[in-house]
Amino acid sequence: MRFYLLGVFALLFTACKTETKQAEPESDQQDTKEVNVYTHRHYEADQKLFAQFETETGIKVNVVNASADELIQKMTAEGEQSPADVLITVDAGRLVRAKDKGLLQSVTSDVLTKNIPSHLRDADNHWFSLTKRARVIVYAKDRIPLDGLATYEDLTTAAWKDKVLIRSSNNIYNQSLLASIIANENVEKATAWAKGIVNNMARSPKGNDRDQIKAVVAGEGDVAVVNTYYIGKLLNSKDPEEVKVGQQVALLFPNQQGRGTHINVSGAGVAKYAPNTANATAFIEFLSSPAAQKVFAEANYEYPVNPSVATSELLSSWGSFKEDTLSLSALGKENKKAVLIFDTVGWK
Amino acid sequence: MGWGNVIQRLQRDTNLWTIVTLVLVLFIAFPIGAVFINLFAGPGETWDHVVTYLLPNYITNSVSIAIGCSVLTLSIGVTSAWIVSRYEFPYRKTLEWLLIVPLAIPSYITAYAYAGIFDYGGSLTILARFFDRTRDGKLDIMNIYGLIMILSLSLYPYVYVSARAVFLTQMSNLIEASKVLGVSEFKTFFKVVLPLGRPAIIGGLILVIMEVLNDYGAAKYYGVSTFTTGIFRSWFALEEPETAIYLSAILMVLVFGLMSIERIQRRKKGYQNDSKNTTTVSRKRLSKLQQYGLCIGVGIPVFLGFIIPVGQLIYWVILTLEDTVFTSFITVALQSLGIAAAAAFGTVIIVILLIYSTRWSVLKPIQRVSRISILGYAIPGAVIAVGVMIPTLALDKWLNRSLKTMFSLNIGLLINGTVIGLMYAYMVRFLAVAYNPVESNAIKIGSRISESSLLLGVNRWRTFFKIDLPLIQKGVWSGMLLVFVDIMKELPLTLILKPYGVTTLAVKAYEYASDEMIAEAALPSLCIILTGILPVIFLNRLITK
Repeated sequence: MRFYLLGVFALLFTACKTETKQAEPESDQQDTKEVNVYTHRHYEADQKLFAQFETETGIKVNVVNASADELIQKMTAEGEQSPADVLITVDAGRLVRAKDKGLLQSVTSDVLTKNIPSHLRDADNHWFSLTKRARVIVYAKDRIPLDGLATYEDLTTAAWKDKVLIRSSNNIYNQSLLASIIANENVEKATAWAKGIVNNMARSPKGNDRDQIKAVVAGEGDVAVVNTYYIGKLLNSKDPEEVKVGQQVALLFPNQQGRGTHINVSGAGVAKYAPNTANATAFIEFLSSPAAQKVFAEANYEYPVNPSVATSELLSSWGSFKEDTLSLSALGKENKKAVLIFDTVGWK
Repeated sequence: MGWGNVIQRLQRDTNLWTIVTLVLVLFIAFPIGAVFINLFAGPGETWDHVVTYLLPNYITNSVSIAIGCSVLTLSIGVTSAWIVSRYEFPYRKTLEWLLIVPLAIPSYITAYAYAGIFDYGGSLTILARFFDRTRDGKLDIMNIYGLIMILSLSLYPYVYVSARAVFLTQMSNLIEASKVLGVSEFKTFFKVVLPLGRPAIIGGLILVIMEVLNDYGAAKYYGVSTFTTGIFRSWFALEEPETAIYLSAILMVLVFGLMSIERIQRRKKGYQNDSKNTTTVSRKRLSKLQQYGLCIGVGIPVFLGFIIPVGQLIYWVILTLEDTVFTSFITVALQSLGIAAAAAFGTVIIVILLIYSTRWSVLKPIQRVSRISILGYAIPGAVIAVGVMIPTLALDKWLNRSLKTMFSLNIGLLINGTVIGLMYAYMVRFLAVAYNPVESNAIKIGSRISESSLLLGVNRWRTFFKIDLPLIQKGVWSGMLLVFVDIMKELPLTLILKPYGVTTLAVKAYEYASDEMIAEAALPSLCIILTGILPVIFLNRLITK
């Protein structure tokens, strides 16, 4: 028996060996002319920007696309061997999570400090916002008097019973919104708010943000809570029916008298074990530059973070608004609490 | 019997093939084991929260969907298989393969397409307005019933394919006998055909159930929380991979239990498959009217499961064509094809080796052990990806360190983030898909012929290549093609493990869909479907030949 066991191990070993022999050493060779980008964003415009960065600097951009959660999982598993230089996510919560897991490193860059307002940067310079969007209330232009509706909290009053459309709590934007209420107010108020919304829901949460807007137009409910860029996407859709939907709604920036409208960002950080730290910093600096900011933000109908860059025509037409300047790190910090609250109040 | 006795027996019965089997099982089960081990590590700290607030709802939903889909896929799959193999009617041959094609559409794409039809401003609205301007066509299908419908429509081919294979090849003379003895058609179906076809039909059904349990995209979009939703919620929203993996491990145990029950049931009945029976079924001819009735009846699943969703996709492609066609599209398509073909080939080789080394090893319990390797199919792709990363990263890191100290070489990661890691993960995930057809074919052929060959002094390998392999050819091809189609559709695992610069069609579709650009996702989806249809047609040829 012992002989057989030995045999098993020997075979196992050779199996592993032949397997690795087939592998060819890939692009991980330490080349100083590369930057490896793990990104949740995947727009054609991004590709063009990256290509522009390549021609300007001669640094080749390698891209891995996946959801931020999966990228974070991947970086955690890879540990010190991780080839990632830059992590780009589409919400602040995930950047904070990456920082907390020790996946990012601090970067000292005058360019970034100059280009990005302080509340949109990590206090320890582990990550930097690149674009921002607001979570707003959408309503049908022709239908209802909004009497009194001015805040997220107003949505929980009796007047909006069975009229509120909002997607599942699995969605990070809802988690961040609730996290912002926890951070600005407290857990009790946040729980009451979530409960109030569940009571007022027009239907059990389903679909994505676009579907909530369509449901407003279809009359399933009267108001929907969505991110600004989805309205931009509807208006620019190839589907004429979607364009019509976009045209029939107007948006309202909540909490203008108080703390301001909840915003979220997409942003980037340099990986802790980045093989090409200098390139990574240069890459993020490039994305915060005025020229790139315009393209990067407009690719997704978002607001640029660089104050020197004007917002697009469409976004300007919605008017300017007061934004909640709560430190975005708070969103990441309170995220888990938010999810637990959602579960206890039965927000699917 | 004392322990000494047991060990003696083990020693006596263990041969080279026992070891080969064990090595193969270890190779495939390593990532699954890495997940399973967590059952003992225990869940994370939010476990109580998950159990109180989430699990009851998740389990109820998952069980309802599994039951609903089982009933629907069985009714659609078995009935249509019975009709096409017993009756003659117009367009029968075309419908025979058309009935399989819904398999080529990823179920989340079908879900999106249907939502796009019944949505506000969807195709139904446009159609309704065309006829009657006062009404908006809108139907809410985004709920658990809609989900069961859609999953069943895209998964029934698993049952259909396996049921038809038995109906066509195995029972013609039994049916004849039953007919001669004056038993009605109806009774023959329930008393002879169904009980005899059970192992194959259940085999197909188990695949359906595993797919259902694994579905994430469709359920998420339709707002139905399932067990898999729970896995993702605890992993990503609650930030507790421990809990997520614990949930996956529970799911795995459940599926293994399900399979064991079926095995035990089957053994009690003692199925004897008659391998000599190759007479083809003589199809009944009914009146013209009845024939058209059958044609329409069998056409319904094809219409709902394939033509309607594909029609919607084509409409979207037309809307978005100028934006989505790009030159690198061909590269993406070729990359998908290449990866899927290579991985499907590798998977089938492992399956054949596994099945035959199990057979050649005299040790009985080894058969149970070998079935561990097909568990991967029930585990969500994302969890498999993590399972694959745990052992391969350890190996990578160890290699890296030793090479660095011995030769001061810096080679980076050899398996992770390379095509090899990706292929390995595909094998772990899809082994079950190839295992079922190859195994049932191998069981059908039995070992009598090859034993005669061995007795006549021909060596094992020659016997295998000259006798067994040609005989199980159909099963092998079916397995390979099914895996191929599955890999073309695969998403979460590919996202996590794919190397730089490699993009598959499914990834491309996902990129659009995750930006809520569903219409733009139609072109890559359509390409997945097209590449899936060719193997399906080929598969059909094989079965009917």
